[in-house]
Amino acid sequence: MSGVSEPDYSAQLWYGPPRRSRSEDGESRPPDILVGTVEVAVRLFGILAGLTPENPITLSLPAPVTAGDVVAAVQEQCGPAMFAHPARRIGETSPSCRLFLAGEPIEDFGARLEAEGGAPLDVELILVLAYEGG
Amino acid sequence: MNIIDPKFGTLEAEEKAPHEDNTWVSSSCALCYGSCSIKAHRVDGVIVKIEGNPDSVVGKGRLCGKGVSGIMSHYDPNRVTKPLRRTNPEKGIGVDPKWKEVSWDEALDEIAAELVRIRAEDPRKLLLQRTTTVTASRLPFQAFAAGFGTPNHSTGGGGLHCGNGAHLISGIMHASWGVLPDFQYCNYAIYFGASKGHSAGHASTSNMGMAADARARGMKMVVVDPMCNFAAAKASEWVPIRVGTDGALALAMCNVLVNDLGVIDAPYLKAKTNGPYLTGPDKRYMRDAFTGKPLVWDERAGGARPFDESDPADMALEGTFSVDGTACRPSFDRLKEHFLQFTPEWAEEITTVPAANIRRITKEFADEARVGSTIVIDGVTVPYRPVAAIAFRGSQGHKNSVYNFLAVDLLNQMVGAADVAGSCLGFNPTCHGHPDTGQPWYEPNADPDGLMITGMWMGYHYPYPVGAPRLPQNIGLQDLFVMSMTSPFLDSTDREKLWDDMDLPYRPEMIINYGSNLLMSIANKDVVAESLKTYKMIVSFDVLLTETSEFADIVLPDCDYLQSKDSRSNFPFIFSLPAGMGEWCWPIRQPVAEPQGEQRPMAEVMLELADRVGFRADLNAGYNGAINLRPPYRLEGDKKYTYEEICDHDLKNNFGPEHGWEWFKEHGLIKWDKKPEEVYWRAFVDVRVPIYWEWMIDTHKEIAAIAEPRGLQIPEEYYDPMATWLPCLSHEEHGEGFDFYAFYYRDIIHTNSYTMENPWLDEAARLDPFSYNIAINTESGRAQGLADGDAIAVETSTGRRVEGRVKLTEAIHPEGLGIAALAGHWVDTMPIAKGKGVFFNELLELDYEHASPVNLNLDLCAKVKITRLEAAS
Amino acid sequence: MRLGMVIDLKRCIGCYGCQLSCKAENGTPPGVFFARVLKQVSGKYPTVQNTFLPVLCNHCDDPPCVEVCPTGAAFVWEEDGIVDVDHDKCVGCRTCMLACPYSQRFFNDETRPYFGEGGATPFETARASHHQTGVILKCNLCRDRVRDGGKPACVENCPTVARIFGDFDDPNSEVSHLIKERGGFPLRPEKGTKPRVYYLPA
Repeated sequence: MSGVSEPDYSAQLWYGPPRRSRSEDGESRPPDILVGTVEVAVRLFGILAGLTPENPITLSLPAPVTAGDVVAAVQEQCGPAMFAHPARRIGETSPSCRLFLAGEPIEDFGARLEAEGGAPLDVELILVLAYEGG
Repeated sequence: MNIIDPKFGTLEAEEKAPHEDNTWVSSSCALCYGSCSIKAHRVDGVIVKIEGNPDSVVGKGRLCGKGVSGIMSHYDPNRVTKPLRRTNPEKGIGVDPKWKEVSWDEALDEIAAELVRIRAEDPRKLLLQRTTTVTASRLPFQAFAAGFGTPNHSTGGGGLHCGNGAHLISGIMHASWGVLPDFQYCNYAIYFGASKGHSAGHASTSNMGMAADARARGMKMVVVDPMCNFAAAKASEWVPIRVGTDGALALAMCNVLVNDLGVIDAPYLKAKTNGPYLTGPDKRYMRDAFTGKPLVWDERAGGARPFDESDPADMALEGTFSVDGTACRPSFDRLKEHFLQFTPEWAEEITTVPAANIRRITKEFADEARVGSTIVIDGVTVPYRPVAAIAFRGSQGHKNSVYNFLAVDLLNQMVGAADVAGSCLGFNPTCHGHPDTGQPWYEPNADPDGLMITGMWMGYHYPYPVGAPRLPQNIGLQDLFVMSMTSPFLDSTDREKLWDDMDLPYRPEMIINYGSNLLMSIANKDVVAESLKTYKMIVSFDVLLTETSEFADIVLPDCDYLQSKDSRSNFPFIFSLPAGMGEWCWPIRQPVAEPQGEQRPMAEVMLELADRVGFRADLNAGYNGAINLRPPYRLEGDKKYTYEEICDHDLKNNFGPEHGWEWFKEHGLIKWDKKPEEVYWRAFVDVRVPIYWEWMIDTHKEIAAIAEPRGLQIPEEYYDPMATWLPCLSHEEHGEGFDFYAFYYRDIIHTNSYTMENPWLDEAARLDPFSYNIAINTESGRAQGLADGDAIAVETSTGRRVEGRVKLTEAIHPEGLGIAALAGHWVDTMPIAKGKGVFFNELLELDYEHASPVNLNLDLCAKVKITRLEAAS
Repeated sequence: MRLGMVIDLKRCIGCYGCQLSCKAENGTPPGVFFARVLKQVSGKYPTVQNTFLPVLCNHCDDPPCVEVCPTGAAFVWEEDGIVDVDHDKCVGCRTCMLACPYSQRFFNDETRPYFGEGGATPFETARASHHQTGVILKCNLCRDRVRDGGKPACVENCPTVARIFGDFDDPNSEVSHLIKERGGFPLRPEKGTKPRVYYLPA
């Protein structure tokens, strides 16, 4: 048929490298080992700051702690109402929720948060909510 | 500069003497949101010329008519130069505010006091509203909103008219703000209600040059448009179409492409779309019980597999399969069958485009798509699909906004003409950053279902994944209508009922407006006026007193673009940097002239307001969150940074310690080469896009579950996973005498409602055959007893009415009534603009019924009747 | 050397960049356009041609304006063929306006600011107020920019690179090549003025 090249030169560019199925994959992640609790100091800004009398709030979360865990804990304390627009599951990445660990922006909410020598995690949280237009 | 008097070719001694101040300043235009780079010539404190900056990729050293005319907007004697306080408590159209000049201190004291009250009660009562024209205004407003604590932010008519559809679909399917043809390599481009490269807007002047090169090279341009102007005027083929029916045409073309011609890029569909995802009888994905991943039918294994455990080459696109006793089919199989109903004959009825043309154009598109081919660019082999179907404001500006735009993009998706050489490109969806710093770095990535999440967006309300609807907390109800962006419900006739029905826990009380003339830019003036009257305080940053300023309590005199600084004159890089191969370019904006009178730049005023209210630490956190400032450039604590310091931090955060504000002041911009892996990223990034919008089913259920018990119906037909044809309200109006579809279009000589006050642009528009007139087909006009220049009244069935002079022309569909731009000003404070052109938006109703129930884009066409008022004078 | 221009109608998109960058460069008053974009629709729906035609003084080889001028104000520069006006000699009789077949000469009757009662803007004071009144104004191919080694403002600015400027005496110049290769044509050749602005077909 016209319009389609024979042979198909671009197919391999679309397909990319061969995929291995999970069951064939020899690697596996080591199971998480609980090591007690992690202290997290969360400083809230903007709309979140008005929702709780204590700022920063101190959380004691079971290790290991991800950014998503921190957000979930804050949502429980402050109420999910403010987290517009909310993700489908509590704590799941909502891009409007900007989290910083010791000043560094954390994009991957599944990533583990770690601090030097067991010190409390220094977290900042602000919701950048404004809908864009134009 | 050129001196007219020759003095026999030699300049007089005093003219040749060096001026103390004779400087060319590198900065950025703001006559539209293209933000093309400029060099402004200042001699002894006076701006005497504005030219392009040949060093910059944005504009490529040239400017359109608007850009070179910025001088006359800058020196408009009607500019606001002092803060003004209204003394007349009554507000209304044509009601004199009885302005009193006040000091900045008085003005800011009063504004801060109100902000303090609101912040203590409920910060969401504050609405920030800005014009899209000055793209750079978004950062100070976004940071302020985050720090203050309000989610309520809008852009006048921006988004409602032009972007709720375009940005949503461009974001979901191309990870960018908009789409355009790859001008350097495209051979066949079909434009649906778009003018890329032939008018203003995103990457405007750069696109003009690139599109001209493309046409000179031989690129065919087929332009679908009710009117033959701008892009259609340069097209190899103009396809006149009944207003608002682009979606039907695109769907018929999809049908011809997939079913009649059978031209599809199967490997692309298998690897890069959710075409192979199996869907069950409920039309939702079949999911793996263990991992929850969508299943595909792996033909080699002879069974269903999670999509990420099967080689795309082995995935079935068609067929019926059984998974655990449930019959299911790949979503492409459904779509292919779904297209069958959209025959060219069916489309001809709806669009008036002849069926034979529909078949021919689709065949031309299919032949030129060269499915299966590749090309080597800069040593890198990429797929080559030199066809592009693009859409923008016109085609998505209807109640069926989502499907109209999506149907056009499906043409690209079927043949793999998406973000590869020659094809439909998003504006720069992937950037690997400056070679020295690797910033800004962004790239699309995949959600757990394998579908694309954009790597960069303006703000964090990403188009995908779609949020979970909830009882709304935002006055625009965008957290209920989770696929919307700008909302009509800030000003609509039904907003208060909706707020009551939805138990919105607060009501908006204050607006801080930056330059938007929402009284004109949204819909008919009365509905917006009624809404504005309900606010306790309206503060407006303005360069001129507009129809909207009349409703303000306090007007603050703004510095214009020639008097302001911005570390990012536009939004990097998905908004206004040209797409395709070439260079990355990040220009700044810096002041060329001093403020006039007591004008102050908005960004600095917002910083001072935050200090007066007492939330500088939150504002700093807002900036950190908005532009990802990392140590050592993050804003610390409650330190009172100036806006210049914040700009300096933004630039160093991206380009390193040597490239701060001082460096950029001298150089104006930074640039570096693009790589094919960035430009043609689709082949290098493992993400899929949805040709089948499966989430619509659940999203509809969730929105309906909240809205319908409260009296708001959410029509299911707009939430089908497959693009379909749904008519506008105008298409269903058959009242006697209501024979024309009124529409408006962007004029190359004007931007929004702003530029009619510029006397050079006004003069050019008065000489233009169409700018200030109502275009009507010659034969249709004569049948109505009209002659060129006659005055007519245009009325809708709801009694909205405008008047204007007709221009009889062959260059418009027989049923169309074309009105340019957003003209028809009535205030005395814009004396050049007053009375020029036609105020089209007066014809528009503003309520839920006249908006898309998916993305809340307004339905922008109106069925009208015309009455002759008087003969041409 | 005879300087002239080639305008590519295929590339022009009617953005008014030339018209307005010229106005900004020369500070011309209201109603005066040394460069202008004309637009015309021809044909019958749906087979329609919407033409954008940028026009300017054609800097003719045989300019009738020079021939009729009683005072010698209208003259041609020998070095490059630019058709110009000496405002000190011009008495404003406007005979040249009648003689020009292209209507590219303008009479500056009085200083009129663009904002009317709003007065002259600082730009107009700097750039336009020194124009003599009671005389003819016209395009001079941005004589000073060109003699400084640059190009006319309209040429430098055109976003689609639709205006090409150069020496018609040089057979190897870009303008000469384009005219030959693309079939360039002038406007109203039958008037016999030998214009040096050529157009490339749309």
